[in-house]
Amino acid sequence: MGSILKDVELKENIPTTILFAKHIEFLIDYGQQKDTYETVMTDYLKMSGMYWCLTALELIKASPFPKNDVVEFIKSCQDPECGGISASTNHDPHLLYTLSAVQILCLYDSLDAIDVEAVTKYVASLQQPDGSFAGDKWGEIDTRFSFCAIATLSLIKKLDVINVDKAVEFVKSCMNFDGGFGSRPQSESHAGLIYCCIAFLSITGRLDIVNRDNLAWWLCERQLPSGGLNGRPEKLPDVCYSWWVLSSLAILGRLHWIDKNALKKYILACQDLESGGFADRPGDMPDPYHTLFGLAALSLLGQESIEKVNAAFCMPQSVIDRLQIQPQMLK
Amino acid sequence: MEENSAMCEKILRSLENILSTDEEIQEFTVIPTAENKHNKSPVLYEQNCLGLESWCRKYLLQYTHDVLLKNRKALLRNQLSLENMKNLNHILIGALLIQPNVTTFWNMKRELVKSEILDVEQELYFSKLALSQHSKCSEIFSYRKWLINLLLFKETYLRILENELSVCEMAAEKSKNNYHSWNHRIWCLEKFSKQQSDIESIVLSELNFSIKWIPKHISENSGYYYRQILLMNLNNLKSISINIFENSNFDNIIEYFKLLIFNEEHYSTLHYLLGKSNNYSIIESYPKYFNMLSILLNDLIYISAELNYLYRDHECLWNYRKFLMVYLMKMIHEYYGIEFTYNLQVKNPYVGDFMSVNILNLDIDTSNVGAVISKQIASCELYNILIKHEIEFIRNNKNMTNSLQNNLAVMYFKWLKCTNFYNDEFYEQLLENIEWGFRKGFDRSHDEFRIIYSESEKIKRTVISN
Repeated sequence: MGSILKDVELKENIPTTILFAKHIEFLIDYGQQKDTYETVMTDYLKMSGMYWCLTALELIKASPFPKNDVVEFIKSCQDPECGGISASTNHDPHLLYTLSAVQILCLYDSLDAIDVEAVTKYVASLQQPDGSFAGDKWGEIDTRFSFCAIATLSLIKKLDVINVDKAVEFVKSCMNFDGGFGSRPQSESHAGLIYCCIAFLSITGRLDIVNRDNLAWWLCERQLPSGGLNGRPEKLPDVCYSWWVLSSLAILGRLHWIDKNALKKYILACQDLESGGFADRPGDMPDPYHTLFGLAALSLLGQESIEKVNAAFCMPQSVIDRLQIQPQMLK
Repeated sequence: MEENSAMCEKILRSLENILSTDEEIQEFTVIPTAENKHNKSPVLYEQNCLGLESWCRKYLLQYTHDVLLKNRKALLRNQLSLENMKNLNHILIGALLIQPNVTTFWNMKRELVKSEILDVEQELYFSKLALSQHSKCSEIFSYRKWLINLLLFKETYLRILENELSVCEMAAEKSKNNYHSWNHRIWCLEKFSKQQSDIESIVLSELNFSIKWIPKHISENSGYYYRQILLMNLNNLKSISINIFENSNFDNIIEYFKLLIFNEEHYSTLHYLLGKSNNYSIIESYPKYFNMLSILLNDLIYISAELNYLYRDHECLWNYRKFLMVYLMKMIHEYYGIEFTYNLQVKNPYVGDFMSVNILNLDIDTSNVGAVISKQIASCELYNILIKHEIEFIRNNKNMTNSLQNNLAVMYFKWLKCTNFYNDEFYEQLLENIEWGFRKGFDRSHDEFRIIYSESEKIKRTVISN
């Protein structure tokens, strides 16, 4: 009986070094596309797309996008009534894109370009009586939005406008017996949501509520023989989980629990030799999302040619230092 | 450009028209095609299935995107006439069937529902169709939740619940491990439990659903996880009226574990397994406690062990086993009124930054002599049966020639040894006295196992329908 393990096999001719020049080219090309089928398709998440591209470029020490254009675009996406920021012009404001916008502005040290006070009010208005956060005024609840709210407020130094204790209480109620977290109370543990909750607790300084070793064990189980990490049992490895799992382990002070060299080999294998960029798995289509998380994970793994990344914010550590924010990290 | 707009309008009106006249469409699909060669309509409609040829997607995408975003703010500010509001729906239908993850467009639909231009039922129907093509799209589930919240103000709950459960099943069948679909199912369970007095029957019929689902989706963690949620919900009920004991499920357990009891009433069976309880609330509700115990033990035998035999190499099965063990340990502690939190105690002085190895592949220092197990627990029959059984189970799987299964067993053993309900020192003494082989099932043939499993299913079905 053949093995039915869900994993990929790394071939012989895979990239083993970081293709810096190719990645820069890939990210810039992506940013410069206009009025194509792809740009219409991705318009609904454009702000996050920009955050992925710009942060990735910053991490590899290249930032060729004119600051003014970016800042002007962000300004045009802030809703004058509610203060929230949308993914693109004429779209509806949402916490997801409010965070992306604030992250980009911090990168450019241009927070004062938008109405920060209005952002503060917007985020605060989305907190529910149970401490959770809705993603927008229509009320969908998810721990992702708890993270977005806390990260945004922390970056603009306004954490005091919400009930942090209640917010923590809600995240705690999403913890499962295996130490992991899901999107709501009673939701299945999922590495992406674990990152959101662990980063949330890191920023709020409440990692004391985590069952560290139960969770770190579960996270270690995500590593497959190829070296790659998956997000749930019996799922395929994916570069973005290199980030979600690894950053969680880093915050928990358990980065040394997984096989770093094997993971590095897997991430490098997901680079596209021709077009540049990283894909979810070797041979798949690259995109900015996986490119950022691939590079950020390599940074956490100690790659010195990449800027040091902050595990809670997925932003350059230098930016977090400049803002004098110190998310909690366990030793 | 003008020409394209006219063509798009035609296609969109045609879609809208079909949707409003046929309420039985089961499926929407985008059919991959090259360019439009025959100058025919790209809308295909046959036997309750709606298809759209992919060549027109890029035109529709651009057109709908332009029209909708141009009208977005006006709709929000109530600046559109009734007629113009109505004229947005066919555009929204097209846009969302092609690309359902655009929150802004669903929000526009929400506003049209609030203005009573769109009907809630009709929207549930439309979003179900969108799900049939994009079964993993979280925005669709989010929209459904919003619609259901509107309905719950005035509606009969069971009909809505049944519909949602079937939608979830459809979406879960279409995409493996469909996180959003299972989340939606759990959300419904919670939502309707609050509204409905008869939660018990919902949970029991869902348990029945899950016992059938799992063997058919053996590598989908979400299915097992859903069962965990059901079991926890069952335990949260004040009482459980079914009596599994009398339906002979426990006879299987007695036989399986070779318990030295015969047809005792459950109170004395509990005594045999656990001794005397000093937890008043359990004494008071012991039939519920007993039923929970029966279900967990049955799952340990029939889901975790039998399926593990039939379908080797599945991490999900081992994962579910961990849940069962932890939950059983929790119940045993509860019986004695002892506080219990499951903890792993991982000590490994040899792992450091200089090494590059996954600790699960190391010989971790699992000599868990630190775990303190209270005397009461350590001496109770059930605890000993379970731990002995785990060790036996691990041994049997470790001896398999298959390396993956072998590896899963090794990992599970490492996990068990790191838990705070296992103490190595204590077990070495105990293991000397084990009679190996009480788990006779492993010698059985495949077919026999299938029979046992289907029988157990039958029993469960009668239990649940009672």
